[in-house]
Amino acid sequence: MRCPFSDYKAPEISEENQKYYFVKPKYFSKLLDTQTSFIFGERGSGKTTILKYLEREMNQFQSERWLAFYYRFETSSMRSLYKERLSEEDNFSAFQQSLSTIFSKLICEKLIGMKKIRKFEKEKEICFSVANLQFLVEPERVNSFEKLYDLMEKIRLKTLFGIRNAISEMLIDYNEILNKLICGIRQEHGLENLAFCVLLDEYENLLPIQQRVINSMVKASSDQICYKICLRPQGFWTRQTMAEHEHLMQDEDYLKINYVEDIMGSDVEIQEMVRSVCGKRLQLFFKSECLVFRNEDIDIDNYLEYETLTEEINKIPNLQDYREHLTKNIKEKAYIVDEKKLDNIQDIIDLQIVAIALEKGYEFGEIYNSVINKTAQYHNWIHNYEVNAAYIIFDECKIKKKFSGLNIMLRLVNYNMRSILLVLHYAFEGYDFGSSKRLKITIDKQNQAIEKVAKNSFNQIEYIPVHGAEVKNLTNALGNLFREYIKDKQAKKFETNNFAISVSGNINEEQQIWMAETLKDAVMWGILLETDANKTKNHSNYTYHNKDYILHPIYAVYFKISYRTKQKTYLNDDVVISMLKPLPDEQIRKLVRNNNKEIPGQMTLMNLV
Amino acid sequence: MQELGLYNRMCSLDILSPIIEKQDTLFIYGKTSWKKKNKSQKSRGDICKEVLRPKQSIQLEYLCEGVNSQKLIDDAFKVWYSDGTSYKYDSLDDVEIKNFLAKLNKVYKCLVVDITLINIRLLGAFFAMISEFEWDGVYCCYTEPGEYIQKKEENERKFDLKTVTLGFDEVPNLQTMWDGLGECEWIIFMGFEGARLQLLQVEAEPGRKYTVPVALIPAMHAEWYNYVIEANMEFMETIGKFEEIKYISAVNPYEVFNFLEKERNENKASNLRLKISPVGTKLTALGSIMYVIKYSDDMLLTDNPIQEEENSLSYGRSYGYDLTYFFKNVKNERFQKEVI
Repeated sequence: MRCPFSDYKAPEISEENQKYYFVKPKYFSKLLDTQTSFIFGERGSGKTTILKYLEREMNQFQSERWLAFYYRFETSSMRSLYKERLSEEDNFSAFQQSLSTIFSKLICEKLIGMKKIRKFEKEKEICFSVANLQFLVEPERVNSFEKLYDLMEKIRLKTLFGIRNAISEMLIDYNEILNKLICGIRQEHGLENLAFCVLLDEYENLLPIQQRVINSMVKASSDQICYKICLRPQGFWTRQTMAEHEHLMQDEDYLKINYVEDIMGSDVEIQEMVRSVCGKRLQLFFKSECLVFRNEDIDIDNYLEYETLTEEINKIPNLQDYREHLTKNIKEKAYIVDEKKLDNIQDIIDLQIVAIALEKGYEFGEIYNSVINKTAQYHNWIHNYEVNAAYIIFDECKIKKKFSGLNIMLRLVNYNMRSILLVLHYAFEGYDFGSSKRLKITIDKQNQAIEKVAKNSFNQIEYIPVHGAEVKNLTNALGNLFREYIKDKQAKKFETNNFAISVSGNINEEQQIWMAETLKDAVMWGILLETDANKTKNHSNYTYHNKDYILHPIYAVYFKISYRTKQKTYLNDDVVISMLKPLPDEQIRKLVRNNNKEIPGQMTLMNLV
Repeated sequence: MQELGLYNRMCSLDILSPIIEKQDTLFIYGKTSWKKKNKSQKSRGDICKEVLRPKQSIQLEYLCEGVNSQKLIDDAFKVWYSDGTSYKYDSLDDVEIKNFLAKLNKVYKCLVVDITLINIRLLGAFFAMISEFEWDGVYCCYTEPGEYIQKKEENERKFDLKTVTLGFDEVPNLQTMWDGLGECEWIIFMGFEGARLQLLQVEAEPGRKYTVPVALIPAMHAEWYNYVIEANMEFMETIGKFEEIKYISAVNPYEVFNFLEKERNENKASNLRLKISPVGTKLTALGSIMYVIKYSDDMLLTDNPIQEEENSLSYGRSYGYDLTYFFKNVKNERFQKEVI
């Protein structure tokens, strides 16, 4: 039996199913305007889906107001539209001309579709105005949109030939095609105010010189022709236009939209949306398999077993043994006379917090008082160290931390639609929907699914073009570094999975470029998430570009660290450079020692391993 | 366009011996930087030359400087002559390759190319321009690996193929004429590096309607077939096509060509283009290259792998291929005609 989450990639889903599965993001209406925007989102976040929905919405329901068409910049074929032997100007022309013909073809396709529902009185004139260009013989023969489409294809092939053979003369005559076509369409009765919306996807796949062409188009955009352009973070190679000293200005020329935050909404709103998508998929699945179902059968939460951190810890088989061991060591270190005192601390997390606080140099009496009376200090410790304490317990008991529940899964995949569907696909593998018993997907099964996605994500890193090896080394080093932090019984850094880069003055320009390029790739491919620095530590050095970097939460599963973003660490740029090569474990531990500040008067627990 | 339907022209190396002895035959084989480092170790790139003992030979070395300021692969090639001198060509584009071939064609009328260690970009760019000149014969040879170096990971039998990838630039002189609109079928000749397919899959997405995974048999070792399936398991799961795996020879480029031609004809009515990713053997890459030379509106989709170090511990059999008929009957349209 198939699974309702098997087809999670847009090309695999039939158009009919795509329409059915689609749930409009909360703030979708922000895109239904004439404002040109650049929409940022990691791969798999849903950008392509939203552009295609926008195209359908604009053409179907608002067809007298909008004509929208979608085009995706494919890396390989876009790169082939550049020829090194051509001058910069000729390369501009080549790309512009190629795009003009492709966009004109797409518009012709739409017009041919529109002919089924409305008559075009000026079809011949529109086509003639475009065909009546220099070097074309008998333009009056192009008297229909179908023939215009064929003509555009011929011009496109001519342009390609010109590029391949570096013939400049073939690259300058047809750049005005698109404008002529658009003006011609507006001559048609009822379409005088028709606005064109150009939906462009994967802008990051363009070469810098090609982005300048698009930037010029964006600069010239208006209410009559606007652009919605999707790209990954760090997808801008340049903001320059074709004009030497002209640049795109955010807010003035375009709106910057973060797809997840601005269109999908808050965490809660996204969770709701994903539940809705899952419900639709389940419903369609049951119908297509002719299975009887009830309302609760299309509620994804009913399928997913879930437990809290406390429940998870309390299920550890050898927890009591560990408790005894921990108690014994605390007593020895704190010179506790009253042996039963620690028995008053029931919760194992609280007991571990006691151990951590002791390591930090707090006096036992103060610690005991805080924990028993749940003082503000206790709550502060819990806020900072609870997850660290949990990981220490898991490690000591030789148990893996498990992840379960839809909300946690969503956090781990960073609210990425494709990834969450992939996790659910693995989690539901072999599930018998035909059975009358709705068994829950166990925590183990869910965890296996998440671990599989995490492992696959990690394995792909080395094949990232050009800097794959460096990104993998960096990821490995960071993951292991953060793992050392979370294992640390003194919890000197709590739930660290993010960092900023400090300037040490020890790296040369070439190394700076290498580091910057590797970081850019790591962000573009979603290995690291980049944010504006939220807190400036009282640091003597300044940080690169005022940015913080977070290891993508999915790697928290792979490296067994916390996925929550709490305490930041600072890494010197020369340290980051060293991480671009494979680092042995001992060097990672040395990094931890160098990065931590010594706390006076600290005590250390015996090594419990 | 009329089907070519190539006959199987595979042969053993000794068939090439009388050809190689002729005065106007040139033997070309690959040179790599890592081969220079391990001089004492016999590389499988040298086996055909040892067996055939050509009188005239040159080496081709693929050079790559990463990516340039335009984010394009910055590559070139060097020709090494038997007297130790060399000449560097600054790119793989049609002009440089034609200049190189023109020099060869003045003296030689027959080429025997050992493709074992020649990078796919250089291989494709080179063969793309072969039919611009008249040759009496064009032959290839190849030596398969015996045993691959394994990764040092416990409980995982993984081959360390020492591959880095450079991105998705098309192979020079083999760029597609297709504009990317409409639907396509993605054909993958699977290799050992399943994780590469996960990234290639994203590139293959535009317009992709069907995915056709192809396993290569017979593998050089019987258990390698199972390993290919295992290595590509995650990919196969994502496309859910276990029962639709097709099979093709790992060592026969003609079979690859005919297979692709058949797929093309089956898809003609629905106007589906083909995107072809030869992740497996060099010989499937050769067959794919031959196909896109002829059918310029389909696409060779590669992540441009580079082998950074020796990845095999020993070598296996060597094979010869007669490509004369193909290159006499097929022109690379990309440089031939003007449409308007």
